[in-house]
Amino acid sequence: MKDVFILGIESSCDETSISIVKNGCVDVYTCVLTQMDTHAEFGGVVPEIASRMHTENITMVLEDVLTNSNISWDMIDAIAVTYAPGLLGSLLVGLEFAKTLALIHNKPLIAVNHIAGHIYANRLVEPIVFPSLGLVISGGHTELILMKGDYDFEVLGSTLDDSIGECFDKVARILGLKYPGGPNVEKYASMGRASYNLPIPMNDDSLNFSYSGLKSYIINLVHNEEQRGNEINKYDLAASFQSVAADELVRKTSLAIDKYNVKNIIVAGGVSANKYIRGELENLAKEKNIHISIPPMKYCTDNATMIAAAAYPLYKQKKFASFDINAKSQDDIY
Amino acid sequence: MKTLFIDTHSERLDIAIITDDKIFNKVVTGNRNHSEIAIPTLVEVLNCASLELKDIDQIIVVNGPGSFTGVRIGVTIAKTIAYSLNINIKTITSLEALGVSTSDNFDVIAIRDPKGVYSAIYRENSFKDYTYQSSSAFASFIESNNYKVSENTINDYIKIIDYAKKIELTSPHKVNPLYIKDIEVLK
Repeated sequence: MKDVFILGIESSCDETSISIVKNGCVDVYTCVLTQMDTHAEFGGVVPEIASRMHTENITMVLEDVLTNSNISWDMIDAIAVTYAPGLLGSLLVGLEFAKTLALIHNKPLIAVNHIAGHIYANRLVEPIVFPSLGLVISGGHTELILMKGDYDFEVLGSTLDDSIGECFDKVARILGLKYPGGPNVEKYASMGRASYNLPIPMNDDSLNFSYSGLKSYIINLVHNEEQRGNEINKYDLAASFQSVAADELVRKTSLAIDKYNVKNIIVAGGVSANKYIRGELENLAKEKNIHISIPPMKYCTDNATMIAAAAYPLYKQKKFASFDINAKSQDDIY
Repeated sequence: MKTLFIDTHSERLDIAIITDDKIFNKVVTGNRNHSEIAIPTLVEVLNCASLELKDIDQIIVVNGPGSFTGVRIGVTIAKTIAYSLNINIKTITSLEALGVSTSDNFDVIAIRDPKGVYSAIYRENSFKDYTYQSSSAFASFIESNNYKVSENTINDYIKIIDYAKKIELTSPHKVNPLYIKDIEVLK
């Protein structure tokens, strides 16, 4: 069978990325241009600045990919782009860029959901076996998803308030740690002991999550200690928070494994770059004797490789987008 | 000479192909999102002209000031075409495009948005002193200088192409929006 090459484009937040992926699973070449240093000055992603930088950089990122991939346009079968969810202004730059390329080179356009991208990042490592239980953990999502086939998703549970990634960022801010918050909380946690007694986020048997209570508890704890003139041990508090947050993921994932009797779990999203959480989920899989798939670090954060990978099943199903497709800040994958 | 003109700086989306003897254009006004209509409109204009993008000799894109998102849509499309097909590209500001298009006699060309006014002073055939100010500040600026103002909103493609002759070519990578208005965090 002829190889399928898909050019993927990702611009939903603060990374401008373009990638060429073969047959939905081989990363031929990927360029990721991150704006992290710029946004760090403001303590978080500034949407308007992100949009401006995507516009400034996107053709240069393409030039890098065309120069270094050894792939010519006549070999490319389709153009895939993230259309949702994310920052609207940022998504629009990638989307208009993708439509223009599709028009110029007469290629089909494939609209990819960013969360599906995170899930299909696992195909870059190994084939996805169905049914699989997907755990999507990121700045915008905390979800348990049952995958019965390609793009056959059933949401089993999700966060009722904050996502786990948001919670990491907010805890980082309370502790006075710099942006990006998540990796800094992880760094501090690795040097501390889980000595603070924190409440379990959602002590029930549902498959839903809740992280706002844990966040509020930590905010109050820090304020109260400050008022009493006591010093907070940032390392220990970060370790305690990370431990409770991870336990909750493990506990709910474990409940879902038992309830749906799955033999495979897939972890996806930016928070899966957290080494402690990866470790805890790997322990769970070992204990339950099931297979776990977690993408390597470079495919956990935002990248176009996963977008091109996620586009492959859509290419096979000939699910192409038309030129009037719009970007959406929110959209479901099911 | 076949020129592709793209202007998405306001609610009025304007795409045209100007050949030596004909103009093919489509203007869309109203509430629909530019991202939904920009490429379909471009396709429609190309079809009307029976041309493909590779037949275009030069691109003139309006790079603002105006709607940030609107300008980015036009600029992204234009620079992507210019880069991919190695077509000459020039940027013209929205105030220049509208200023050269009007037959009004004016000292200041202005574009309003919901919160204020973008303007430039027209002197010795060029546009200078780009600013963005509140409507009231703009009104007193005009009054105190006794300026004549034009708020033309219609592009005259032939006049724009003629004016663009004196504009230097830009590398597609360097084609970027002109925002004028600073965003909150940068103030």
